[in-house]
Amino acid sequence: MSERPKLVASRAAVPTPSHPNLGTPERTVSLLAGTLLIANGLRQGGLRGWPQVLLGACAAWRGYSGTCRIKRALTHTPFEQAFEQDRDWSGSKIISRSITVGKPREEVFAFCRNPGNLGALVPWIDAIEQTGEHTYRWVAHGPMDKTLHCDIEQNEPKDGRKLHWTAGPGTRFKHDIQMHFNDAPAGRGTQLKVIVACQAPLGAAGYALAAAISKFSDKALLHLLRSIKQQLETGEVSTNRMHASGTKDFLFVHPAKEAPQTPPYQPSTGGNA
Amino acid sequence: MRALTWQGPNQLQVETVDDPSILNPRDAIVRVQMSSVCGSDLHLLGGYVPTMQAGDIIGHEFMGEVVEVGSAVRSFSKGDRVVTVSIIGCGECEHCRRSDFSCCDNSNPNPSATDIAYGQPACGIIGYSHAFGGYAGSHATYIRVPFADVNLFSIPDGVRDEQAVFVSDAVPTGYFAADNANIQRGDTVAVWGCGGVGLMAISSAYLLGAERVIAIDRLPDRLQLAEEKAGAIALNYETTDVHAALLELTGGRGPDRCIDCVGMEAHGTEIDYFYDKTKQMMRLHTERGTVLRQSIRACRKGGTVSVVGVYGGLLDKFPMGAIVNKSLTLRAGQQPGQRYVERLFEHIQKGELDPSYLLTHPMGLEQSVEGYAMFKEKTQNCLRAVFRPE
Ligand SMILES: NC(=O)c1ccc[n+]([C@@H]2O[C@H](COP(=O)([O-])OP(=O)(O)OC[C@H]3O[C@@H](n4cnc5c(N)ncnc54)[C@H](O)[C@@H]3O)[C@@H](O)[C@H]2O)c1
Ligand SMILES: [Zn+2]
Ligand SMILES: [Zn+2]
Repeated sequence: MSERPKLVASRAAVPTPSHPNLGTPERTVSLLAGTLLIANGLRQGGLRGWPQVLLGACAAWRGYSGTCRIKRALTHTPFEQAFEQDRDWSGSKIISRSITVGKPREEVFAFCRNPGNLGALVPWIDAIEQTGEHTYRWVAHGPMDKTLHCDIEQNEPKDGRKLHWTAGPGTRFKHDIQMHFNDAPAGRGTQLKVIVACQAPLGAAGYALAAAISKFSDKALLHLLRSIKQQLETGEVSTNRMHASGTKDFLFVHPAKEAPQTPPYQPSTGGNA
Repeated sequence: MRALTWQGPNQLQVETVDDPSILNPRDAIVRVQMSSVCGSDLHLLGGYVPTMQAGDIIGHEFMGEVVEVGSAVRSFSKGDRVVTVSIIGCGECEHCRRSDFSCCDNSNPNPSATDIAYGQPACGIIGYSHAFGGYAGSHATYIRVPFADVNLFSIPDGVRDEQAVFVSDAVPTGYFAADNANIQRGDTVAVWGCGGVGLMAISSAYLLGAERVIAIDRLPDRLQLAEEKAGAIALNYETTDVHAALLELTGGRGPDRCIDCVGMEAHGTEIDYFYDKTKQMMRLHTERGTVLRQSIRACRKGGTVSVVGVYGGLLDKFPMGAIVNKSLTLRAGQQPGQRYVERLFEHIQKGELDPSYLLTHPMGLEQSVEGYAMFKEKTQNCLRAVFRPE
């Protein structure tokens, strides 16, 4: 039996009256506020009164049953809680995506550790400038022709198995990105798992905002992982443009001396094609 | 160049657009010589496939001549006479290597819509909405074909253009449907829909060893072709109780293999059709499941239901109970034609298969709007209109 991995996808349990997710003070406040709203609504009546009755009933039910879906949605996941404790962050929103690339782990790792390769595939990134041995400045085009940049430190805590990027000091919201490389079973290539954590300050509101933004990051991550797979497996990244005019220009400034280049496209022999 | 573009539901227009160019090393540009309508385009026309944008070039069943190839293309060069399988494979991902080309992981540049709808991104399909990659279609003077070595096939001598063009889609789709049905010696196969795809499924079922094929439709010209060209017993569902007839013809067992070549726009005469149609108009679900329900109900116990009719989203009143309690196998897919093209050309060369009768209306590209109107309404016995760009 293999060890059960820690899943980013774990969530707080769905609350039920027998397993409530509200404490006694929260329940009391909810019940009281609900009763007051109902009473006031009934007194007022009409178009202003009935919505109050409805809202009051919801609040009263919340207090009576001790269950709240909204609180559940805003509860940090077990993975986030462990991460926050480990890094000493006040709050975090974490997303993850995985992909299998049909190439040996060494090859996939070598490709991803080279910012010149990766940067060309990250949506929005125009240039990466090497500023130190492990530090890079990522330049992106933001909305309304603004350029944004972010100083990022790249590390390899486990050679051939893990890459780690952190947004350096001075950035407004901390980011922490990990890429894990594992061999897929039975020679099926390499499983690449990316975990993106972004800092979510300001309690529940910040968490809700970060969760909304993470929907876009998730889409970008989907595109990035697909592009990595396509580049490595087929030697190109699929496109539906009619012309080359919209081609993204990517610049890598001061590349490291022995930066590995994209492996040239090698068609597989055999197979069915 | 000139091209037929989608402008909105049931609105098509021939206009002048930019020529395509080579963008990736494995691309080829093909000058289109014949480009056919397909039943799948009707789902785009009807507005049942989301993510279409005004100006999108449609069309995906075509043959032509290679005019330019990218630097990594090995097996083709300028002047080659080719047919294309438009369900794009890359040839390198684990699915393509298993020859499940229509499950390709690397051919769709817009993965997110199908990732959300289906759980994993679908492959790219030429001329078939942005969810399937947003590739420009073949009703045009030129077309860009990605992964040319995998998706282009040279047309052998002795195979005429009007035969070859259908080896792009209708023939491999019908063949795939029959192959998926797992036909055994002595089997009776029932095929719903006698469009180009259904007619090819009937012939393929015989090539794969079926004892007898029963074909179901309502259009007299198509039923006649099913009998005369493909050798089926034809049933008109408007004048026949299909379920009773299928049991009557199979000693009460039901057909061993059932093939759905109709898809989400099934027409019907029973109450479930009106239920589906109403919900579809209210955008509550996307499919009309008449054929699927009928075939599952008719299929003999332990039999196979093979689906190539296209469905896009969610289906209501799906008879799961019949599948479980009759131990049915349900198989489906977009056609992985790359698997079959060479075998199909051999059948054509040996005279065992001739799809050329599907071409009822040769037309110029400029007349393509009328061509689609005719194909959609099934007027003038239009089975497939095929456009020749000038
Ligand atoms: N899976 C694939 O790769 C693939 C490829 C090509 C086409 N298709 C699909 O195959 C289907 C057929 O394509 P086509 O080009 O032959 O289309 P078509 O429109 O020419 O033919 C469809 C036929 O189905 C008949 N029909 C409608 N309702 C019926 C019912 N209740 N019972 C029996 N027949 C009925 C129609 O009368 C018509 O003759 C479409 O759904 C198309 O999208 C799938
Ligand atoms: Zn088609
Ligand atoms: Zn593939």
